[in-house]
Amino acid sequence: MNEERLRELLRDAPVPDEAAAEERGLRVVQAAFEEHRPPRASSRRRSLLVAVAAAVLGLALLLTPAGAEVGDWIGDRLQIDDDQAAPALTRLPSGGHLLVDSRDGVWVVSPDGSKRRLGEYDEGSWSPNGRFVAVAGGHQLTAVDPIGNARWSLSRPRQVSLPRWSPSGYRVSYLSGDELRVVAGDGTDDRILDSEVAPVAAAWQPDLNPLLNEGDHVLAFADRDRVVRVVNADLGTELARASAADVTALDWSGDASELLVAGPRIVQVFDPGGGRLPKAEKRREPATARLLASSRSPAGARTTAAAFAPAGNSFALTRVLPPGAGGLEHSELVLVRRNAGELSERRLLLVSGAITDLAWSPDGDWLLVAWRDADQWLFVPLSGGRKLAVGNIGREFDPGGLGSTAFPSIAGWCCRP
Amino acid sequence: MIETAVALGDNRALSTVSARQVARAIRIGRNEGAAAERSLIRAAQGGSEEAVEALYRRHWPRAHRAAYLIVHDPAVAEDIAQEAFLAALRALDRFDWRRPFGPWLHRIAVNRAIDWARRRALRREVLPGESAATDPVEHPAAPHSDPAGGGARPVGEEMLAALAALPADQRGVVVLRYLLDYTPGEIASMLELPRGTVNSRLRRGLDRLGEALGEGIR
Repeated sequence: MNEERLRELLRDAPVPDEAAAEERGLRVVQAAFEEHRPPRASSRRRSLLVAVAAAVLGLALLLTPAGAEVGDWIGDRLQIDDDQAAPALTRLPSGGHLLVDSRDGVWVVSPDGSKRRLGEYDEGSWSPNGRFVAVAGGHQLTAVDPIGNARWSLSRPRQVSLPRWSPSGYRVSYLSGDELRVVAGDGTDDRILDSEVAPVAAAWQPDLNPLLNEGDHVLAFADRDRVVRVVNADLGTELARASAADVTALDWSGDASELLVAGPRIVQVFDPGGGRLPKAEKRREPATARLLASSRSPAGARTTAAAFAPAGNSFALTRVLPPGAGGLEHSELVLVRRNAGELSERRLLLVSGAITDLAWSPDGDWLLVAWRDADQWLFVPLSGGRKLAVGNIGREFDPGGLGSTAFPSIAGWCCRP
Repeated sequence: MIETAVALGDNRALSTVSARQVARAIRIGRNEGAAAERSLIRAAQGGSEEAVEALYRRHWPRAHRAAYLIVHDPAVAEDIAQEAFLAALRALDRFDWRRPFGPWLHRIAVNRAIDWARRRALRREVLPGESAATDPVEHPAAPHSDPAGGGARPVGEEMLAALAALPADQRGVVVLRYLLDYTPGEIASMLELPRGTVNSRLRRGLDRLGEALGEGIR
């Protein structure tokens, strides 16, 4: 075979559904262009603004000490120093209760900062109104109230992890090994939903879909091949699927219309059918979720957490940036808004080291991130006001110990008053 | 006139001339002229839906096919090609219209496809008794005839199976070289690789394709 024959074979190789894919793609591109198309006059104004911004950045470079990076320059102005951090957690801005997973067990933090340990569990998930917590520990899934009294418990032969309580309160999903299982909120009717899934917490769709049958529960999860599947968890029927580039976190928008699929290198927003999901029993083949927008991490950066705001279609993400010339790793907290097919980002925070977990306050006014390298939690107001830093977090959840080896994870911030 | 209208940011002037000018650019565009493509890009930057569609029709088939030949999953290939176009659209107002659009788009699509295929290969399930370390390919090489003895497969299908058996990096350079017709130097630039690496991946890819197809590729 010569190279020309190879060219011919590649050119003529059958591509399944080729013509239909072209038409579908055109509709997506046209819709995105229609919504994105800028008027030329404003484009010229934008160019002027870009030029001004470039001049400011250039000035910043000139004023920066030799060898320092612009990133460091910005970081210095946003970073919260150790001596500015509160020495202890004495209140939660905007109220609510935090759920925290630590090496010592699962904890509930009250608005005044006081903490109650629920028991020696690995991880927990709030019920929708904060009346219970589903906790996983070893081979057991247990429902406890916020003072730690167990209400029901079930055991599985394999390790139990990643419990998630549905917004209706009537279902709890969890993983047992790599099985995805669902149990009723009273601990009965435990059953398998998928036998091999990725180790990613499933996400329940907010219970707002008037077209679904009353009582139906819709769940998104990533299967073994990292295909995101949206299923009716009660009937076991698949409603939609999305081929995601990578998946480490899933979340629904507050209005149930959009599904966030986050991976280290790319974040994608899908419309899996939203309010238009037909009744499950009428669907024969799962729909292909429509990609609304995506955003790739800058080279060398990785997204560590992402979550939709309680309302609206904005979401927040934390991202670890690659080390600069000084060898210093930075992390940023970013607020992302979707405008048609475009995601626009607003940086809320830039710090040295790694920030990881992310939680929205119940009212959507604050974001809490874990700044592990500084042993701090950072409460960041969306209003742009003063950030609150709390230090010694490791010790807060390791009373009597040094707190140096067990930085806790933020498992949730609940609930609206 | 389109250029003048665009350069002046004059929407009114653009609207009075765009239909005729864009139609002309699209007509010329069918003849693959670089000048016509520049006109289409500038018209698209000026807000012409017709120009966007013409660019799309001109570049989608090869971008989609390239993605498919790398990922071998129709749904994923469609997503990747869509994403590449959406990314190109988002950056359209910053695009230097003097540069060709195709390489820019292909670079986005092929890099994404290679990334996806690499990740897929890393997640490949290892069967009991099988060692992932000794077998880095994503799929086993296809046999020359079906196992049921149903006769030889069409050579196109054999080639697809053989291509699928290549590591993603080799698949990417083979597709860029022999489907999209880029030179090794251009591929090196698109993938940000040394030219020698591109050449060695090409050579290894062709050797493996030749082995799988039972004939060398010269």
